Amino acid sequence: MRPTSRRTMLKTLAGAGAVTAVSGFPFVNRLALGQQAVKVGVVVPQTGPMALEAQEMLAATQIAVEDINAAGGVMGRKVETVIRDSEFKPEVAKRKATELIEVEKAAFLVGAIVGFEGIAMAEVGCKNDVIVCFFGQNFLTVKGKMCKYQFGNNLTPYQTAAAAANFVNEQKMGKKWHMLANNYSWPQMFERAYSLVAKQVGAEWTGVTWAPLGTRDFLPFLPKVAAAKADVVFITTWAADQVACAKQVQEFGLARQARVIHSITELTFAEAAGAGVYENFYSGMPWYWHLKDKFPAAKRYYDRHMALRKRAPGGYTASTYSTVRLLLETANEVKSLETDKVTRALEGRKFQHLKGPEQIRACDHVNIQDVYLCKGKAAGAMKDAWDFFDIVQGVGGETSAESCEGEGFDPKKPLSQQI
Amino acid sequence: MNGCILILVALGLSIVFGLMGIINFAHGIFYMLGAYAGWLTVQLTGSFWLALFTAPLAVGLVGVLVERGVLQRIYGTKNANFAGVLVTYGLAIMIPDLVRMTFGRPGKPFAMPAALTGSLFRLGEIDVHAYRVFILGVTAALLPLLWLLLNRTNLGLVIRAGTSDNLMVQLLGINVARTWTITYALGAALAAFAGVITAPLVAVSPEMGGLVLIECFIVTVVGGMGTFLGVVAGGLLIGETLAITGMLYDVFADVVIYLAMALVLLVRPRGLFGQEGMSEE
Repeated sequence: MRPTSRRTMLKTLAGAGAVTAVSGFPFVNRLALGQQAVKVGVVVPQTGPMALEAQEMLAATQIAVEDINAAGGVMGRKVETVIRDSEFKPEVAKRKATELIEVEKAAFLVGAIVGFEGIAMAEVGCKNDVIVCFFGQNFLTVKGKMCKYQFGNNLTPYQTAAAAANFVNEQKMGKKWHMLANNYSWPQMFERAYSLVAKQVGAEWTGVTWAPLGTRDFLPFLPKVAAAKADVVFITTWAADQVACAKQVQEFGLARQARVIHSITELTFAEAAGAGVYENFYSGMPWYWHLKDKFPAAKRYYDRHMALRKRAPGGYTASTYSTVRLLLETANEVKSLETDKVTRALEGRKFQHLKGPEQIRACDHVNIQDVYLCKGKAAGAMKDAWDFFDIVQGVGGETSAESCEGEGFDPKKPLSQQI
Repeated sequence: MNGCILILVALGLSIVFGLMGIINFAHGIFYMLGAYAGWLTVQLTGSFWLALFTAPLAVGLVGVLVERGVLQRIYGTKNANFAGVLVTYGLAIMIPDLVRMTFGRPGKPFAMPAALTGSLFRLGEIDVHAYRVFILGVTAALLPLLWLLLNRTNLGLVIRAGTSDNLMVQLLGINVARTWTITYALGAALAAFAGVITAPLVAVSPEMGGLVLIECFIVTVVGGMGTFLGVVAGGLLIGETLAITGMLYDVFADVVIYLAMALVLLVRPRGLFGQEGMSEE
């Protein structure tokens, strides 16, 4: 055999190197991909009336990503967030979500605090086969209106309302119920839930006093609420409307004649209203920072959020942390970023992050979780600037969630097989 | 409450437009700044009553700065009216951001003064609350003073004359520039006063001026630009319309006031009490 010439050797080596560079040799590709981050696209209203809440959620996202990266990332790859401002406008949310997918090549889309952002992002995610996870209330669990790649770790309106209604029933607060709410689609979902649960537990649903969104003066509506002579008044408002409503309901003294329950609230609203405004009002939340005394993971999260933001984390903030962590942990577990694969892995997934056990119900992607009913404290009883409430009871699991049949889904099949 | 707040805020807007011909999109900001100035006073001194004075004074000074530093540069220029709209709209975007940078994004808690909490008396089935009576009372006390200012003082005479015929007032040698500054500051102070008395009942946030401004424009159109009586009547009419429609059929609450504005513009463009020939310009 003729000895191999140096030229031949060099050519062979060069060829092998070229083949290696472009080939599917797994270990080589893994080495190359290990340098490429997994991008999570985040769309939140960094400007506008929910900017503070958006900043809180971004902090929660940052902490979640740090936790994931500290544990080795996703498939050994570092996770990066690419953040865009929705400007509190649906058309901007849609544009930014599209940019995140088409330009930034985000593997997942997360964000949205309010409904119209969520709808815009869901439209983009579903069209591009990218998983979309909402930070705000998960209200798109309606057959015919959602796609199989939509997830929402936060509560649904039905869960929130049913938890409050079940709490009222268990605590024997009375059987005559009424609601005061802003008149748009989100509180209308609560009306449906409250009236359904009222029927189930034998309570009398006396209806709703509707106030326009953006109401500054709730006094004209309060006599009508008082005239209903309800034992329990559920108040379903949000942001500035809730702050004004809480102040004026306290002024009106409605709590003297009925139990007042804010269907859901956030720590930022109690802060804006001021100490004592929520005194004796009950409020539903997906999480409250007092849980740090019960769950070590909640304590760790509380400490990190406090160090980062110099304020206690709110319920939506904690839910955001859990959302991002759940998504990335799942992708890492199945060793894939493929949308269908991660979707199937999320369906039915059980986990526990900052509170009790939770599960993404397979048939509708609703997170089966506890809802916390908290009672507002008097100003003098607050131990620090964030101590607005005491947790009275955690209510939840399957008892609060609407059944899959009720939503129009087949309970025996995962959502990805139904639509 | 709505009617009183709208009257106080819209008065300034109306007078500024009537005298200076500027549609002041920054006017809602003074309402918001009043709430913040009031909050700051209460934080520093603990006194709500002091805030009733310091907030209008402080915001009045801001008004002076805005008028002298910004608006005076566009008076007499080509398309001054349009420039005024753009400039004030720019301020309406910029100033809330400055407030966020200075005071942070969280809304500010503003407690009701202890002396004004609770019910004063009962009217049938309804409790009449002390703070609401206070708002009514203080507005009712302020309006005659404002009327006296506009109708029984030299400043008021110049303002009313300038509202009718600005050019003539200038030709008569009256220092219109100083009058405009005082008028603008007065408008800002009134809006700030409305802001501080509303603050215990609403969310104090940088965004709070936006919605009230739109309603004030409707009040001034319906009542008549540049007229005291028009603003009072318009404020009461729009405020009560919002309240009553909201109670009866909330979906139409906002629609009704826009319809009212459209109807007035069609049938009587100068407004219910506006002066003929002025508002049609």
